[in-house]
Amino acid sequence: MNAKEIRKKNDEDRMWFVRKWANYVKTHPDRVWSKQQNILINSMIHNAKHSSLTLKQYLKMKGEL
Amino acid sequence: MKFINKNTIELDREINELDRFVFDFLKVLEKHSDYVIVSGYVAIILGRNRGTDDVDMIIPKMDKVQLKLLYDDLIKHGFWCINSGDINDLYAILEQDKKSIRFAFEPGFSPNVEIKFAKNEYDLLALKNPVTIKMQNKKFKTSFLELQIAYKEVVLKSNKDMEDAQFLRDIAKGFINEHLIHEYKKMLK
Repeated sequence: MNAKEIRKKNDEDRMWFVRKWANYVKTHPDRVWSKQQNILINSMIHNAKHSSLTLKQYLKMKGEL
Repeated sequence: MKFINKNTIELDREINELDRFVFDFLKVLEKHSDYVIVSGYVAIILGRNRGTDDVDMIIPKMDKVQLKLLYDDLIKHGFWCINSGDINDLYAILEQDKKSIRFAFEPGFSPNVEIKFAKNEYDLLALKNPVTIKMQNKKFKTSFLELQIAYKEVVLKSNKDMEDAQFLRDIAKGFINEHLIHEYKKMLK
């Protein structure tokens, strides 16, 4: 597989998972899927809060500097 | 998740750190302005399993005096604006540059709320016809899903946005108006 094909396969895999998760959300109670979703979100927030990134680097990353 | 009508969705999900941050911000913002939440956080509230550290909101254009009142109230409640502490700079970013400003809990910068003034007919439409998401005893307003999907598929178009749009289509199937999405996509091209 060349780089383009690998990217395409990766995009397709990601989209497959998005749709699989959407189906899971639709077929399970909010309390069940949100408990799993919150593990990811809370951990991202925790990591961002403890990141060594400076404000200047952050704003640059967002294209605002 | 219950789609009550075209303007109301009820959720019984557990609250996360990002939701708490948004609720704290809205408690102040709602005293000063109308708003709609747009983009990634809308998909996340409805279950999309990805993270974000910024929450985008559109507010109606306000004058500098009103912005100062909002700014002072946010400062009083522990927020700071990470772009600048000068109200003239902030107003210029919003009004002249048509860009956004970010508020976080001081002294951090993540997560943050990114607010911008409504700048076109689509932003005004989103403000005029919000979807209210009720979650436990809280509620907040988001842009209606058809416009979100069309905007992500036609204007933003990154992988992340295309995935958000597909997620919203799947999750709200039977609730969203596909014809309306098609019309908005034509208009946004």
